[in-house]
Amino acid sequence: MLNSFFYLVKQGFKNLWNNRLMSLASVGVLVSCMLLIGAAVLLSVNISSVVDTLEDQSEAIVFLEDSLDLAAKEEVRDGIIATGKVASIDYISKEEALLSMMESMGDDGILFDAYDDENNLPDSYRVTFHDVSDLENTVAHITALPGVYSVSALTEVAEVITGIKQMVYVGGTIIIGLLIAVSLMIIGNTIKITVFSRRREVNIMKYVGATNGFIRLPFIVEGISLGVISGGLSYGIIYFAYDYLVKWVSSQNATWFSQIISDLIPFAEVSQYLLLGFLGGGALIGLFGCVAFIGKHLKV
Amino acid sequence: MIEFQNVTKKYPNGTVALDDVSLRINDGEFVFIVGSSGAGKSTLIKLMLREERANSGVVKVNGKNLGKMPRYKIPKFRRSIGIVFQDFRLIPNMTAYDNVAFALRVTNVRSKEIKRKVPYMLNLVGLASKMKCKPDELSGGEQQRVALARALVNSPALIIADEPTGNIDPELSYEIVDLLNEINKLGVTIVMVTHEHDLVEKFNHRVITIEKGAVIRDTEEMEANIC
Repeated sequence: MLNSFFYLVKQGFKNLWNNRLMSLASVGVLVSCMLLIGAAVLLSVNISSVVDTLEDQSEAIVFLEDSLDLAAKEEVRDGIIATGKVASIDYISKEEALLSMMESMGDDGILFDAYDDENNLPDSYRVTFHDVSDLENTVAHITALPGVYSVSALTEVAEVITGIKQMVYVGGTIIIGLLIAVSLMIIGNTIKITVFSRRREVNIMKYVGATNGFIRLPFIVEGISLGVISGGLSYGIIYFAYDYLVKWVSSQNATWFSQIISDLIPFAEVSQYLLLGFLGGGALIGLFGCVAFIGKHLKV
Repeated sequence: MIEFQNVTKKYPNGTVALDDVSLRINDGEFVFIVGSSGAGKSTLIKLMLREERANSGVVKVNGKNLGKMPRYKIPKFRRSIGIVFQDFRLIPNMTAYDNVAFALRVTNVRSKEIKRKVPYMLNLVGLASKMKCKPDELSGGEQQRVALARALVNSPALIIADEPTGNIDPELSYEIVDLLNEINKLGVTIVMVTHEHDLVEKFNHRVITIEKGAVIRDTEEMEANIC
């Protein structure tokens, strides 16, 4: 039994070479599809990362009423944290606010020297959010807290960010899903042609008394090998192309474009998922493709 | 032994290939099956190989009722029969050696046994020097001899040859049938479908003639009637 198993596995590898033109065509189709999917995944992940960075940078300033004592300020702080969307919260006293304003004015900051004793700026909290979706409601909720004078936040920007994020998620999922579906159809047809071109061989094996398993095993070895080879090639191509892109971007003069994509996600961060997806996906496509399409020719 | 009892085979397009056919071929016999194109010869062979199932009647080969045989048992059944086709049906990317060895490999025969049996069989059909040749490097007659070696290698009790001389020249045809004749002398049952009346006349064996899906002549029955 083991004897036959090793023979059939060896036969599978031999068939790869014997049918090298079809093997090459299958690898070509698989690699093209995987490259498209890989590029779409990387693009989507990078857009998401840029949007996440923008999201992290969006903040709100919560101005407090003048008369609050320490306990009341703490209560406001707790109320803000209770919204469940806060990433960080820092207290800024009126003195710190004045100092910061003077610093931001540069040399003209001395104009505010006279206000040292008569500082009318309010105490405040600088709040950043880990989730800016529905920021308008969050801001309204904070504004309603006792002791809060007003809240300053760019809710429109947050809305735009949330919109982009949703668009990337939905669009990315649809595009990647479509690419996978189209790839499966193309790959399925390629495997169908491969099996069809060898239907006579399958037919002869049946007449000699080979079981379906005996006929299938070399095809399975062939299918998995083609999938894994294609997966490895696709990974290599994406790795070098992405690396080249990162280097090219970093070598460009600072423009708004290079600024946006200067934070490209390092390939190492996604490499293991891509490799696993390519190799696993390739092997599975090869395996199921062969098993599904060969069945028709086994009914002799 | 092969037995057909009132067998009828009708294809989905309405063609009646065999109509109430009954015949019996005993162990060790050499039988020619003749008839014009479309007479039903190929259907007869397909039924013997369990490639098709009869619509009615009983087909028995080597004691097995093929109508009741489940699909998973077909491979094992076919291994007990040697099959030779007009178009040789050799696997194109395998050498002559591997084509013959394949019939042993499907039965899980050990490598040592394969290395012993295959050269012996190829030597028997006169192709010992061409073991490493692929089918496209062999002549039609040589390819048919490889197919014959493949059919014989599992020591079957029955060989079914479907027009084995159809694609080779007359001289080689005679050689092939002569080889089958020698195999028959060893006790192997031979059923050979052919168009070639000259060949049938040269060898004195039972002849079953089929026309329009029915057995119209059987030399064995005629001899029995004379006696």
